[in-house]
Parts: sequence; structure tokens; C-alpha cells
Amino acid sequence: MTDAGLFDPKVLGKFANLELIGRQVFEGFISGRHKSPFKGFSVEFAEHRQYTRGDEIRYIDWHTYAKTDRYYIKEYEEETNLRCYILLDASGSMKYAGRDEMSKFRYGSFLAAGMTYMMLHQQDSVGLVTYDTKVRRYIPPRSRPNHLHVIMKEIEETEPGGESELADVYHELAERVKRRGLVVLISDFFVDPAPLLGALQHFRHRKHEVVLFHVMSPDELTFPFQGWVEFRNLELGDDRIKIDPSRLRAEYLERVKAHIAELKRGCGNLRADYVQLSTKTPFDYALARYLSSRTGRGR
Amino acid sequence: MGFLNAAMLIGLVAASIPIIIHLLNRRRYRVVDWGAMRFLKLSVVTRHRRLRIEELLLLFLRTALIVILVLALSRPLIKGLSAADARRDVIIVLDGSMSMSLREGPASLFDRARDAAREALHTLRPADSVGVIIGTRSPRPLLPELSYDRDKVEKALARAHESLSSFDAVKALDRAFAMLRKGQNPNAEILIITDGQRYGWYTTDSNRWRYVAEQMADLPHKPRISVLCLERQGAVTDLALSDIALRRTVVGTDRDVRVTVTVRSVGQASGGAEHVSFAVDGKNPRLSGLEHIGPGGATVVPFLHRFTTPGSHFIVADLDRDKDQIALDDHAWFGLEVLDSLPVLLVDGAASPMASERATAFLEAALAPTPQYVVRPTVVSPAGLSSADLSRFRVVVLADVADLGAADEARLEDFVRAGNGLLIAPGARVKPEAYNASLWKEGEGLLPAQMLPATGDAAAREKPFALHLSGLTHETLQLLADPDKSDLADTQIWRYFKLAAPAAGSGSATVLRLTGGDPFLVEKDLGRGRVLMTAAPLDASWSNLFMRTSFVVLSHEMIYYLASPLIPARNIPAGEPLVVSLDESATATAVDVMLPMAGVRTLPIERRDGKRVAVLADTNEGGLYEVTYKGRSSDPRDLVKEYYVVNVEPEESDTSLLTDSARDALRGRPGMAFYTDWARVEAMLTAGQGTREFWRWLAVLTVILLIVEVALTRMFSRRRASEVQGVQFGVNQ
Repeated sequence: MTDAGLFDPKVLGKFANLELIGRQVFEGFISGRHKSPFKGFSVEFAEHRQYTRGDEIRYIDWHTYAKTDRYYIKEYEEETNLRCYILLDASGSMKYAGRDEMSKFRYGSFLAAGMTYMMLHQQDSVGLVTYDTKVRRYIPPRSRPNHLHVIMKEIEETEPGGESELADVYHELAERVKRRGLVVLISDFFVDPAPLLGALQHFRHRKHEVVLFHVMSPDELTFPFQGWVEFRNLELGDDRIKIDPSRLRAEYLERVKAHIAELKRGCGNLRADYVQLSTKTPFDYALARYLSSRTGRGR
Repeated sequence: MGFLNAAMLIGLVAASIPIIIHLLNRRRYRVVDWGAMRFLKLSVVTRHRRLRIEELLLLFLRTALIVILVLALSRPLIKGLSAADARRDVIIVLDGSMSMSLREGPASLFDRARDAAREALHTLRPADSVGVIIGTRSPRPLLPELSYDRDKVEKALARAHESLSSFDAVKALDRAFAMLRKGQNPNAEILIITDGQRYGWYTTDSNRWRYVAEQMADLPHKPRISVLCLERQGAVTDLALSDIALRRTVVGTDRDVRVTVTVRSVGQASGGAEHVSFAVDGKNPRLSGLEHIGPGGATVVPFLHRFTTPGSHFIVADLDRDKDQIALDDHAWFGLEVLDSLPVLLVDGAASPMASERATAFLEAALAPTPQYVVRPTVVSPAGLSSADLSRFRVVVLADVADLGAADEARLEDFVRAGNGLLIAPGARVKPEAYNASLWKEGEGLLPAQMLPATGDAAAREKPFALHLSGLTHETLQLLADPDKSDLADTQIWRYFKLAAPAAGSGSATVLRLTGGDPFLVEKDLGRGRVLMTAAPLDASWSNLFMRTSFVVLSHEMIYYLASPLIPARNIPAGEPLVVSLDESATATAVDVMLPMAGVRTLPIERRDGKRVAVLADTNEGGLYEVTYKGRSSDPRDLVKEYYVVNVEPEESDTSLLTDSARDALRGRPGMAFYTDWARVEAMLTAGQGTREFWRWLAVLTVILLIVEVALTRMFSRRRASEVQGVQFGVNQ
């Protein structure tokens, strides 16, 4: 599948909508209700330019003024205080779409795209990592507007496949991403919770903020199948199992529930944000809910 | 294990339905590319085996359900569950027909059959009951009930013998079924031991076998029917006395009677007796040599005999004993009633002092040429007819009687209808119109044919008419048909009444014609009696018939013929009731019948159609039945003795056997098994049936399985828990 729909007008319309909502919420987030722990930290000097009216006085480089007796403003490469890493799971299991839903990967892609769009508008820098068993592509965070296209193109060209091996990838990334930021994990998290939580711990240890977007298909949450079904593993071609799913439903749902509960509890312990998203959940609503939960925490 | 309704077993195919559904279900799985495999696998690992077991358990239950239901519907029989279950009622039917007397060496077929029956008895277990039936026209059991006493059965068997009767498979089976109905045991077995003679099996009579099948279906336990056909060892040599015949039924003491005995070779090889003997009332046998008769051939041996005493007599013919293989058909019987007198009333319409002018003069002379002749004519005038007691006469002759009163006409009609005879010989005094009006009555009256005006000139005596004598078959004309011996051809008839030829089917027929084709002698059956009518008078007026020697013969033959319906029947076809008619004056209150083989049967006297009769319904045994009862006086020595005979059915001498196709038909219809080998019968009997239907148990099992299936399905499906809620997740709608 190529998620070519990313740029179709309908979806972009959705993004515009998203942007509006995002901006509204995000402005509040930037303008104080949200206390950024990264304030001034991520400022990288780019160049000096002459002060003009309207520039903030606090950005005047007093050292230069002392030398040159002129007001210069220090230009920063990215005028942001947030570096966001979107870690989009591109493993095979993300391909699952259900009957008339979009696939989890597509959903995650939209989500990533929306967030990217929103954050770049806020001059935050956004990076993207796609991975399955290993990191497929690492796009470092940038806040340039045209970075959006880089990320969008990357998302569009990514084809999910391969096994999930999140913990190792996360450990690797935790090592690789030196600068603190916001780590957004978009995945179905169909892995053992313990190693995964260990990896999240690693991020936390590196002082990253961690947000888990747990994307699941409604089918995976209700297991509505009837009659004999052969389930083929999306990650491993030759792994298949023939069962009468109605017999296994209760047990399956118990296990899913336990898995989710464990993730949730683990995230709570790690003070990582855990957001459940079914592929039916509207993106805007999902984002808003996340953002409100963030603001609600009073950080 | 057998099945009463094996066709239902086709239903076993249905047992594959659950399996097919199961396999199709497994085969027609939907393919889902699935991400959350880990949860599924964990579940599968723990539960898959159990699910599989549940699945297979249900599959097994459903398949078993169908199999057991089909088995129940096919009504299986289970054998030899235990000794008690194998108890049986065994009926041995011994073919007791005449053909079983066939001898090959020292033993007859019946002896061999009896030996086989003994062997069969020895195969029985103490818990088995047994009955032996001698299969004849009226099959009789040797012991009245099924017996557990082997010695008693063996003794009865030793006394059993073949009979002159024929075997009747249907009656024998019917009798066997009647005995089995009283049986106590859960299995029934019928063994028929026969020579396999075709006669008596009615293989083409589907109604009889349908009856058998219906009777069999009504039995509490369906019997297994086996037939042991004793094989003959070679071609059969047998001469049979198939028939004794008298030329006419009226026999008097007045003259010789010609008796013919037919000897037929019914075997496949020629040979046998060289003489046939002939005896009346069993006395003074006379021998006559026999020519060689080839297979299928026959010869007629004539005897002449004059009976000296009136009353009941019998003739017995015998072939030389021990000359052929079936002895019982070497005898034949014939019963007859010899008349003391045959009173005939001659009504003379031409009363005249001159004897030669009377219409009955020549007839009277011809009928009673000497006083000892059995025919006793009495001549009356037409007026005398009214006062005559007709019951004293057997035949009335109306000779040229011009007219009859209505009363006389009615009396005569009753007289004929009661079985007597009337001879009408119209002459010059008779007006055809008057006769047609009073006696023809458009075919309803006494006249056999409508009278038309007379033709010819009796006075001129020119152009005489002659009788047409070729092709005469009528009983009255047998002796006159041979032109060498008969002078009937010389008869000249100058004038005669034209008689309208009777229509076919009218009950009337032309007996003798003139050469011109006009009827001369016509007859009519009326009630039990007969009417004969000539076209010319039996006097000298219109013909010279009275001058012919044949006239005497013809007169007698006509009178005998007219009198014969009331001659008592003494020869009874096998199976027809023997009816003894008693005189009103007889003082007897019962009639004793001595049966052909042995024993005396006392019959009550009853009244049928106003007559006193005693009836013996069972005349299946061939041979002589000697009937005695008290006569008119109260003197105990005044006994009336009458002989009745039932002969071997000629078909019984036909030794041809049941064909293979006939056996196949019998196998199919009532479900018989045919054996020719005692060893196989023995094996079959020893193995026994011990069969028991157990469909009820299967039906119960079906219900149990059904309940279990429903319960298990419910239980398993509850675990499927379609009502289990999905996982609450995020903002699921």
C-alpha cells in the first residue's frame, strides 16, 4: 500500500482542520499554561541581524552591542523550545486494517503527519523515525517549514513490513537521540510489555518526555470473527493458524486486556503519557484528547 | 447380525454429512492477515488442544447419532446374545404328497424326508419347541401343539406317512404360522422338507403368496423359512392310473357298462407295470395286459361290467405293485350309483285304441324291451298328466301333446328346474303358435327352440330328409356317431317342424341336425334339469326313425341324459365338499364316514335348501370314502352304504420339479432359502438364529446422544461467549 491519500484534498482538509484545532490548543500550550522544561535549551545560534522594531528586547545580543554599539538580534536556527521525535512503527502488524477500517499504519501515518504539520507550524522541530526490527529511517528534527515535506514524503514512501522488535529499537534510539525532547511513539505495541517498558525507561532516563500512541484496530479489540478462520501472521509469512475464533474470543480478549493494562500501568509508573487510539477514533479528537491531557497535567 | 430393512442402510451415507460439514468448515476458512498474533497464539497454545477435542467429540457424537439412527431404522437383528435369546419354535413341514412315495432303492422320498426331519430334531436345543406338519391338501400337525418332548415327536414322526393328496405349500405355511402364533420363543424357524415337485407351490399365483407374506408379517416373530429339496437320484419311472371313466352316468343292472381306465406314463423313463387290474367293490379283480407306454404316453384299457345290484358301488383299478417308483398313483377309484329303476312318464297326445297309432307306442317299446330294463315307462294321456305324481318320475316325455294346461306347464317347469328331464316330441297335433305361446315364451319357457311351421309332406312320403351324422359329439349320440355301427343314417324324415336355431349363449343348443341344416334335436338347460326336443314325433307318422335299430339306443341315451343331473355325485374333486344327501325317510341322525387312510368321522345331519345333508368338508385325501347311515326302518341292521371317491390329482403324478426361476421367485416373495444338501441345512439349524431385534435400544441411544449433543454444544458455545464485551479502549465508539 502506498498511503497516497496523504495528500489528497480530503485528507489535507482534515489536516487543515487539525491544524486549526492544534494551533488553538497548542498556542495555549506554548503561551504559558504549559511550562516547558526545555526553555532556551535548544536554542542554536545561526546568525546576527539588526534589531528592528517589534523584536523582543530580551533577544538583543548585549555583547555585540557592547562591541559595536548597535542592537543586534541573535538569530537562532530553530526558534523553538521543543524537539519532537515521532517514532512510527512500520512493522508488519501495523498493516492490519480490519474490514473497512484504515490500517493501523495509515492511521499512525495520518497522526504523525498531523502532528508534524501542527508542530512545524509552531516552529517546533520534528523528527521522524520509522522502524521495524531496526531503525529504517532516521530523520533528525528540524523546524524548517519545508521539513514537513521531507517527513510527509518519508511517511508516504514507507511500506510497513517485518517483525516488531520495539525494545531494541527504542534502546538504540534512546542512545542516539542525545538532546532531550518529546518522544512520540506510534505503535500497536504488540510486543512483550516488560522489555518495552524497559526501553521507555531508557528514554525517561535520558530526560525525554514520552508519549505512547497505542493504535489498535477495532477487530483486535472485539475479535468479532465467526467460523473457521486462518490467521496469517502479517509479520511472518509462513506463520499461520487455523482456528474457530469464536471459541477463543474470551481468552483472547482477556489477554489483550491484560496486555493493555500492563502497558498502562507501566506508563503510569514511568510518567509516560499513554493514549489509546482505535483506528476509528477521529485524529483531531485523538490529538485534542492528548493535548488536553498534557495541559491538564499542569506541566 | 442381519437387518429386516436392509435398504435403510443406504442412509449410512448420511453419516458422512457431519464429517463433510466439519471438513468443509475447516477447509473453507476465511483467511485473515492478522497482526495480534501473539495473543492468539498464547490462547491457542493453551486451548487449542481442548478445542480440538471438543470439536472431535461433537463430530463423533453427531456422526454416531446418524449412524445409530440409521441402524435403528434398518431394524437390525442381533444373534445369539445368550442361550435364552436363541430359544426358538421350529416347525418341520414334511411334504406328505403322493409324489413323496417315489422309491429309489429301499427308501421312499418320504422316508428320506422323515430321516432328515429326525436329524433336524437332533440339532435342536432343549429350550427349542418343535412341531411337525404333514403337508397335504389339508396339512395336519402330528401333535396338536408345539412340543418340547422330543421322544413324543419322534414317535409321531415314525407313524407319519405320505398320502394320496398333493402338497400345498401355502396351506402348509399357513398351518405352520398358526402353530407359531402359539409359540413362546423369540425365534421362529420353518423347515420344509419336500421333493421339490412343482405342483403345489403355486409359483405363478401371486395372490396366494401375498397372503402368505401378510400372514407372516402378522407373526410376533418373523420365521426363517428354509426348504430342503430332496434330490431324486435319476429319471423317474412311473405309470399312473389317471382316470376311470364310464361312458354315461346312468348305470342300471340291466346291461353291461363299459368302463375305461387311462394309464399314463408320467415319469421320465419308460417301464413299470405290465398289467392293470379292475375290481368292482373291491371284489373279483380282473387283469388286463398293458402295452408298452413310452414317457408321456397314455393308453386306455376298457373293461365291461354288469352290475347286479342297484345302489352305491365303486370301481378300483390297480397297476402291478412295485413295478414303478411311485406306488400311490397305481390306484384309481370310481364311485357310482347303480339305479334300480328309472321311471319315465310318457304323455301320449294321440290316445288311440290302436297301439301303432299312439304317439308313444314305439318309444315305450324301445325303452323297456324286457321287464328287467332299468327304464320303467308309464303311459298316460294328457289328462292323466294333471293327476300324475311327478315326483315318482325322473323324466317326462310329451309325445305329440297338443296343448298343456297352465297348471301342468308350471308343474313341468318346476319338475325340470328341480333336476329332472323333459323330452318334447311334437307331432301333427301340435300347433307351433300354441306351443310358442305357452312353452317358448321368447326363450323363457320350456321349449329349447322356437317352433316354426312344419315342412314336408308326411302323406306323400317323397323327398325324405336325412340326419346329418358327421361331427357328433353330444353325449346322447356317442354310440350312434360311428356310421359302421349305426343305422341312423338310413332314417327318412318326411315332415318335420322347422325349429329356429338357438342363439349362442341362450342356454339352448342344437344336438342333431338334418342334412339341410335345420335342427332335429335341440336341448336346453333349465334350472338343474334338462329339456330335449325333437323336430318330429317319435312315432311312425312323420319318419321311419322308429324302425331303426338306433332308435332304441337313441331313446335310451336321451332318457339317461335327461335323468343324469339327479344321479348322486360319487366322484369328488379333491378339496370339494363331500355331500351326502339323505332321504327324508332315513332315520339316521348322523352319518359315519370311513376315511381313505384310516379313521371314521361322524358327520351331523343338517338341512340345506330343504334337503337333509351331511357334509364332509375335508376331502383332501385321495381314495375311498365309505359312508354309512341308518335307513328307513328302525332296524339297526338297515344301513345305507354309499361309496364316494376322491382320486389322486392327475397333476400330482407330474414329477417335474420347481425350476430355478420359480425358486428365485419364492426366495424373493416370502423370503425362503432353498437347500438340496442336508449338511448345509444342519449348519444353518445348528448356527441357529438367536436373533433379536434391538432397534428400541438404538432408538433410546439416539435420544441419549441427541441430548448429550445438545448439552455439549450449549456448554461449549457458552464458552465461546459471544456476549463477552470487547476491550474498552480509548474513545471507542
